Amino acid sequence: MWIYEKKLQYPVNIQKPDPAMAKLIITQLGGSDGEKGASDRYLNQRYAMPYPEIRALLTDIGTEEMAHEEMIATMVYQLLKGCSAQQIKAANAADYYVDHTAGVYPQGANGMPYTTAYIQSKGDPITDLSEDLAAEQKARTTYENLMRLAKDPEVYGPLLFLRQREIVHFQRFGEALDFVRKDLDCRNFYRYNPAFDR
Amino acid sequence: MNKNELLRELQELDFAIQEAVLFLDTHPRSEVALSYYRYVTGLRRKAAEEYNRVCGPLTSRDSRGRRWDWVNSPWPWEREG
Repeated sequence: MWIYEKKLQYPVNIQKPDPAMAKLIITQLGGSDGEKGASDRYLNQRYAMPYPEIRALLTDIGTEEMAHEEMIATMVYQLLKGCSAQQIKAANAADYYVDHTAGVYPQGANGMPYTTAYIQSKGDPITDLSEDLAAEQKARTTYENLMRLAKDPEVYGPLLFLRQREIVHFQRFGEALDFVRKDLDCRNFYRYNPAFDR
Repeated sequence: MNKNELLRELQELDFAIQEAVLFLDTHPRSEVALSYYRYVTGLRRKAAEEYNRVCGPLTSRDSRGRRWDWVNSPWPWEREG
């Protein structure tokens, strides 16, 4: 189970609305490499993971990803807050507005709604951890792409924090993958699947 | 400390704990990391008590007032994080 804490992991306080930026940043909530996919991926991979250290890691990183979803959603909310329909239209965000007004809906920058088709839970520790390593790098690249477009330091700061978390998670997942490889037959990691074969 | 400073202190301590937790998950035998974890969780307990007293409940289990203040204290997207 989870218990909600009424605070963000890192402060978000955006004073200046920017609907165009909201429409881009929302991709880190519901896009192909976003935080919702990250938490769904790790929290669902936990069950078949045969190593207790890595079950803990997937739980703790998956939980942190939920806090990142909340930060991104907060950024989107604050970037849309107080804008008129005309201001939103002038920022080329009228397509988002007609479907969601100023509400927060998990979708990609291209408008595609969030789907679990973005993630995999394969029931094989080497496969799942390799997926997780790639996911952290894809999210890092997306944050860097957003940071090149973010002029406002109140937008840039939280993006910089979230980008750094991708790097830390990549490091920890790399250690987990090393751990699995050392545990398996070092001459052939793929001889059997420790999550399935007995 | 004012409300904002208390919140910031809690966020900093929780960040330190999160880093220690993830490190310990892949280095469960690290004595240095474990003693750091004990140190920051000790500070965090005090900071959370003070936060609950001054700012209102951090979780729905922390309400201490005579009235149900969980619904009134601001949500994180409504004010500075």
